[in-house]
Amino acid sequence: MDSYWALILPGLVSAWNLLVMKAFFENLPAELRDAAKLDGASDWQVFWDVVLPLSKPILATIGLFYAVTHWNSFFDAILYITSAEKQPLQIVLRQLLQAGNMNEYVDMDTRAAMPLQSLRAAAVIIALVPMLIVYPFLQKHFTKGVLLGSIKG
Amino acid sequence: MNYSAKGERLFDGTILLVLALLCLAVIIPFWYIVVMSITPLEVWTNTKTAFFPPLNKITFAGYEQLLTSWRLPRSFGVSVFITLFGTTLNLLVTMMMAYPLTLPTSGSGHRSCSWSSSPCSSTAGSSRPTFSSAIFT
Repeated sequence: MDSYWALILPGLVSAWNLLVMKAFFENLPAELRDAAKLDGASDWQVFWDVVLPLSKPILATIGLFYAVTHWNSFFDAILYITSAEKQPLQIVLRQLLQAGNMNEYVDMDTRAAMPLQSLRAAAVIIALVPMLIVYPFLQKHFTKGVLLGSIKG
Repeated sequence: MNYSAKGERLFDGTILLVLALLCLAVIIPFWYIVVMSITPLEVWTNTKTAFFPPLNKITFAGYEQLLTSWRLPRSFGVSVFITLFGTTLNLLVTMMMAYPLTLPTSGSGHRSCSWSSSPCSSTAGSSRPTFSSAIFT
């Protein structure tokens, strides 16, 4: 309780993503593994040096899925996180949008200059921008990652 | 494009129109929020709407106030940490569960072992309340 682990561990493996990733691994040619084995590679070496470099697209794709889930997750933080300084952004955003009191965020002197709506809109933008930035960089992997083709590389 | 009939042109035009409307439906709310976040109070009290940006009165005071408060930047950092660290862990574990499932069995039954351990344990998580899965995972 009240620890970051409570937000990370429960959803550690999503079965759906696991199956997508498994399908991707299955589509890698088995000959690659056999060849590496013939050259004397251990199971770990096959995994790290042969399989992983070929699976960057699926890592980027699944990673993006997980990242968006984490970034947007907010109900588990309501359940588990009690202290104010450990609350993730979405909780603070929700409090802001429901506007119990803005005084924690804004001192009263400067507040008069801005309508409440503008503050809320600004908070929404702040919460939105990081994912907006990440998407274009990972999007080029999407077609290779999610659509299952035959030969990767 | 080569149109053979008037009907086809009409058909394409309708599709384009519908798609453009859908596109607007996505963009306009976003635009509204962006404009609202830079609208100062005196403009807001006059217009009560925020569709056209008040070009000569744009203010970033809202961002300034939020970013100088302690809670928002703090929670932003927390979110970034959870996202980065959590995603790394997610990927590592998912990868390590998925890869053994693709290997041919050696006859010792370890494959059925990893099958039973990985997807079942993670799908079963959804059949019970998440707050108990925090204890069991």
